Amino acid sequence: MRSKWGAILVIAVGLLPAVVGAQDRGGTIRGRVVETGTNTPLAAAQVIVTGTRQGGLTGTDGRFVLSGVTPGSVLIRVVRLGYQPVSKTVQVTTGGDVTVDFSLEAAVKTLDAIVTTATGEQSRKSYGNVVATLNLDSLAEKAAATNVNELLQGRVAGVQVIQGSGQTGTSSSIRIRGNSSLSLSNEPLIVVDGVRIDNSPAPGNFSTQRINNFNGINPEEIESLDILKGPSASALYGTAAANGVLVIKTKRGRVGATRWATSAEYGNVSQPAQFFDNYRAWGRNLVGGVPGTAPVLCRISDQSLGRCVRDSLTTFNPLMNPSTRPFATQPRYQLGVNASGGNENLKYFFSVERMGETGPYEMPAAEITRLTTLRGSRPRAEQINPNQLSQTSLRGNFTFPLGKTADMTVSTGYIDRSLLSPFDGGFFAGLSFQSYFAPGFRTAFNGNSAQHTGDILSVTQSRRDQRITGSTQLNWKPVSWLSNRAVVGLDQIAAYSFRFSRANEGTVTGWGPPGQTGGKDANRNTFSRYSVDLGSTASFTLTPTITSKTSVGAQWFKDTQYETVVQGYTLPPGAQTPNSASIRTSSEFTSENATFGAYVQQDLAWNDRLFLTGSVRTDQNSAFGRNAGNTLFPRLALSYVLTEESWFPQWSTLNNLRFRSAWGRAGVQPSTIAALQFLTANTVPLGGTEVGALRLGAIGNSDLRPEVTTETETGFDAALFNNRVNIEATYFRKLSTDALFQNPLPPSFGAGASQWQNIAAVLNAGGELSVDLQLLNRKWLTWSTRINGSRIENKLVDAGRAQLAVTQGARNVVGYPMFGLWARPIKSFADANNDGILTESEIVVGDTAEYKGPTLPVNEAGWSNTIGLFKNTVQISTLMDYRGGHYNQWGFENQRCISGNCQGVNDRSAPLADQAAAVTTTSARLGNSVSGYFTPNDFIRFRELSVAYTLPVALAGKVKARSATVALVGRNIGLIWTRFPGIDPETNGAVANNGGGNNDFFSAPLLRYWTLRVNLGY
Amino acid sequence: MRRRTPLLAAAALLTLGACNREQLLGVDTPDQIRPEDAASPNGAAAVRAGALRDFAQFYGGTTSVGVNVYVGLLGDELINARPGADHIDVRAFNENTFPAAAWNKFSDSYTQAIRAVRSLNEFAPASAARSRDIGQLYALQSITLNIGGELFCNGVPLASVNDAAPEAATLVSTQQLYQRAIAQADSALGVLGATGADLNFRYLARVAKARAQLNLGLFDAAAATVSAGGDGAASAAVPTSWQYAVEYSQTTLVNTIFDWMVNTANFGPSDREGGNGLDFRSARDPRVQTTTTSRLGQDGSTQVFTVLGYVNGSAPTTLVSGVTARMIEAEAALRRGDVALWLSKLNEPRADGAVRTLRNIPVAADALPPLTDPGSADARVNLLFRERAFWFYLNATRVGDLRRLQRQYNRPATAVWPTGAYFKGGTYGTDVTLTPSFAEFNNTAYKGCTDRNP
Repeated sequence: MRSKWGAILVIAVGLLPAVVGAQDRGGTIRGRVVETGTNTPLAAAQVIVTGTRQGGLTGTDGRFVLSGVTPGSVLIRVVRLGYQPVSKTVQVTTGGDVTVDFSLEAAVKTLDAIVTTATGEQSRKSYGNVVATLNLDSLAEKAAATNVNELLQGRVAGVQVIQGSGQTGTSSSIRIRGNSSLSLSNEPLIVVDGVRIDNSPAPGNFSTQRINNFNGINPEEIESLDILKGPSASALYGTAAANGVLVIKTKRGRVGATRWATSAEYGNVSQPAQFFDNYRAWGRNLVGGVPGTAPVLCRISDQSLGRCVRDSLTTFNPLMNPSTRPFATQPRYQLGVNASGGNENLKYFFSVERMGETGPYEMPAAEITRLTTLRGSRPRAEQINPNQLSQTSLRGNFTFPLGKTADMTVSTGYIDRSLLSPFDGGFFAGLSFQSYFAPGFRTAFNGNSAQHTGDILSVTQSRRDQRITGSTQLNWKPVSWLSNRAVVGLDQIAAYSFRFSRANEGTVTGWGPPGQTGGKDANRNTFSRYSVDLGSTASFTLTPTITSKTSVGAQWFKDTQYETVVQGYTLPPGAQTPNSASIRTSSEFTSENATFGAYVQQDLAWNDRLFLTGSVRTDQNSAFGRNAGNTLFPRLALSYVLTEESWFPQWSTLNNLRFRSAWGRAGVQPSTIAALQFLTANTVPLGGTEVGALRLGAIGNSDLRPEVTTETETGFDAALFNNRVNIEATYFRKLSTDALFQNPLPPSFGAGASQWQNIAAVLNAGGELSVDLQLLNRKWLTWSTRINGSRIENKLVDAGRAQLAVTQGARNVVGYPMFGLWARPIKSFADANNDGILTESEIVVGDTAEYKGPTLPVNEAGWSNTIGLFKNTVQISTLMDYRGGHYNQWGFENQRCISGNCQGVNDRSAPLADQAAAVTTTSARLGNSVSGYFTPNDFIRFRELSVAYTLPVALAGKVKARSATVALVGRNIGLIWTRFPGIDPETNGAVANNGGGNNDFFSAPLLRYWTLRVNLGY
Repeated sequence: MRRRTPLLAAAALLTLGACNREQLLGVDTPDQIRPEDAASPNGAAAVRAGALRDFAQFYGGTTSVGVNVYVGLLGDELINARPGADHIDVRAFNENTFPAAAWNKFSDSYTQAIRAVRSLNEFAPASAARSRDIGQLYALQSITLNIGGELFCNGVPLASVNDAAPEAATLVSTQQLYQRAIAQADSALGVLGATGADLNFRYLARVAKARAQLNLGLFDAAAATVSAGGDGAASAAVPTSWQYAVEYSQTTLVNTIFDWMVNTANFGPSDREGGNGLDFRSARDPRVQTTTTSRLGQDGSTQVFTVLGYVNGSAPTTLVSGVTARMIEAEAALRRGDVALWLSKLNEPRADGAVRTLRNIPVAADALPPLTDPGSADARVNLLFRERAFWFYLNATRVGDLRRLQRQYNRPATAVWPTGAYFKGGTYGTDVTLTPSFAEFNNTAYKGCTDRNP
């Protein structure tokens, strides 16, 4: 069957010429944009012919040229991040050439900034949604971030960056306006120069820590990042956009002489956490009232019950004791150089950057000595420092004209990233398990449970990602009113990762066969995302006051992953591959997913102050069930700049007021094979021979549809007091219906563990507020501050007939937030016999599980300050980050108490509440309730401090530089306040793309960075 | 001319738009095998192999431990040395906490056998080999049902296995599980030949049937099933030295005892667990060999000894044997009051050199000396069940035996099961069964166990 979309597109596009009618080639407008006061040329300012899609950027000399402008009186608007926009009316004649210059004043925020959307760029004021824009171009220089997520943290209302682990090279999660999906990814879609990527887990990750694909994107290469927060803004992105969209534009060349910029960073990385002591109460069992002779763990509760007599209490802390501590402060560096410039025929941007970071893990000296003696040679460098990251980033972006009516932009990025991760996380033989759960004395393993730290760190976990992200964008403007866009792009990662122990090295048990027999798990992955995006926009003037834009487009995406996995155990000495292993397995994994979508959008603008947008998109996806029909993703939006109305009171204090409202839908597509019925293959030994075996893997679901999220957003933007105060306030409500849930099938069916079904509904609603204030603007002192925050309430509205799991801990219950914490509550406890110790009978636990609280922050806020001294030659920036209203499962302490080494189990001076939690979690009679460990997780963290000094030009000239800046940057500086009693409120081993919970189990506390950065411009 | 440029733009869009759906959305899924790919004799053979794999997984496979470990934990054979909840070991079962997948594996084993029999009947040519394959599957299904009856509560669902439209499964009582086990064993005996490779599966079916009869309290019938004449007038008794072992591999189907105990010290052999438990370790009985030194378990605090005899992941595990037959005969004799026969049946395998070889028991005469009559009825029952416990250690029989001690010998739970203070804090619960996993509540017919009695 030929596609019906083809016919739709023919009609939609074919009608355009008839509607628009004849228009002619126009004139040329040229000019220069400078900063008010200093007359400094402003590069990268957007020069727009309002009411049309015509426009361009200024070059490094601040100059611009717009050709083919429709003759007549046109309004030219110049906008640039950080400056107030300026508009001027000019008369354009056919074939004429008119010059107009602009002078822009610095401003905190403007309504006229440009945002990038599915149909291209448009002014912020015409977009019916709040769109956050981060100017990473300047931010990255001051923040010295190690990845893009760090720059999002605390800076945008409604956007939460959820930290995972504190290991170097690990990833955080991004949540925009909460969790919408029960079983699918809640991460936003990410578009880099028109190519779709996402924050999905890196393929073939052997580390149990979270490593995601977005991690490798170099923030230094990014010019701007626009955040479309929800379906009401992102509907045109279709089935992948329900969780919002991050639209990233990498840096571009400008017309002008070649400008060089270099940067160098050097700093240190440390693990600042104060880990808890391990305890051991020694005693002897009482048998018939008589103490035995064998030393045993004598819990205080058992002592109270007369089961044992206590002899002593010992403590040991293998993570803090100087002789066993596996952490040390380590170096980090980054060197980068880029060049940009160009002329009318070619604009270019090149950059190359190399970074290296040694994580804080380091083999203790005593372990190095022990292993050196044992092996006859010193442990290898990657065993002494098993957490290392290095990355080389290359980028080349080129824009050149194709004739008079078209230009082409080629964006190419290459990343070569290598990461070593310590053997940790969920492995029993890993570092956390062996140290956190060890008894409180210096065991034969130097305080660990059963593995020496040196042996643990001798297991190498390595991955190397070679990634190319490239796109070619063709812009063709055959006539002044019609622009066409074609983008073809690819994001491809070739990854090789492995876990490896040489023979006679590594842990004795816990991975592969017992004994240090050597082994290697390895996989090679090719992970590709292909994007094709075609679009046309026709702009025309319907009446003198009404302008119109009609956009149509079609998109095709294909994601593929091809993986080969090999495992080999029991290696001969010296072997580094599975080739010589006595036990070998291998397997392949293939995943393919394709999406085809088409859209049409109509924008109407009245007097450049009232904007109406209506659009609809439809998608087909290979993962949908064969009975699933088309899914439509409509959007309606309104933006109204009230202050531009003549009837609006001209208050001197109110410079701008815009009302905006939008409604839209977007989706999330099911996983690749979710709709299929299939058998899985394996082998079984029969008569000593491995025989191929088949079994039913899944029964599939031919009715499977995408999850659909509908959002309503409304709010206002206001600029007050000569634009010194800018306010954005937004209310949103988004409801996911047909939410996909991996519904467990009754095991008695023997038909696979679960079936994907469109059965759930999830509601997120809340408000966002951001306030930018320019408090001081003196010659010698400037001070601007920004406060942004949100409150998001989440609720699982419906789960169909699914029997949701009743596991204690993070659980989904209809009527409550997803992944909320549930357990039988400790109702009361009292030391009835006044012996200072709680036992089972002195604790009352509720009969049924009760809701404690959500695991995703309900409230979040960021407070950033920028103080400029001495004509802004010294800039001090700070960022405080607050999250609150959520709970942590505190799994580490819970498991420590179960293992018998926490204070609450061993030490009678422990608070009764701690004792109650410890006794309850180990008591079957009390339901092993973990509710005593559900703890508030609120915190305020001093996230960033930056002190930057711009050297005088004369001083910079000493090194032949045009400009020079030196900055000292600190990241994750410290906790200012927290209600979390554990080690770090942000460690979260439960975070996952598809939701998860909040549990510090298996996760390392956050790292602290101090970096000195030098920027030189030539 | 002016109209041409927009039309060219439209043509570019149509490059995508005009492609048909298959071209735009076509994807490969080579990892997924479609059901129609298995519609052949070779496919049926692979589905049969899949059912055997599911049984091996159920009994002692590596993914979230086999039922032999569940039985060991709930009974007195194993202690839990994992960090985390000890809900099975402490007899306070939580259907959502690891390990809690016994029910899933039971259901997989039962239903895949049905699918395999259907596939063989539909696609494999009729032959003695096909009958043997089907007979083996029926016999293993009978064992599965026996273990299910011994381990799970009363009133569990059994599915009809309709993959096109899964139906709510039928609830069956424990007694009905055993009756179905007998029926499946009879089905096996009905299709199997009488000689050669078939004989091995006939023994398997007879022991499975006798085990179900024993569970139903049909002691004499059980003994008759495994004794001479129990499979036709001319049939021999199930030989004492016969055994059916489940195979494992070092790669894709690792033995659970090796992987979760020998390798990673998640569980260890108990010794007088909860007061009533047997002295599995300190008895130094050659049938339960353990290391003499301990190590710390995965929880970092529990001292764990290692069970010997499982050298790597491919170590086979005995499922049932001729010793099972002798123990059944001994029990029937004791129930009849024939103490002499009871004692001789108990001693028969202890003296059997072939059995010793199979079980890696030293040939020294004092390794397993003959037993003597302890004199009292209670002591004889104790000795019988002790013999069973040591012969069948980690063979997924102990919970069935402990429940039978309550049900068939009127022993109080407090005299049978581990009780009192739990070694990792708290006290033992009162569970004597496991329940279906929580996911079973998605079956509209299932509302929970009818009862959880012994």
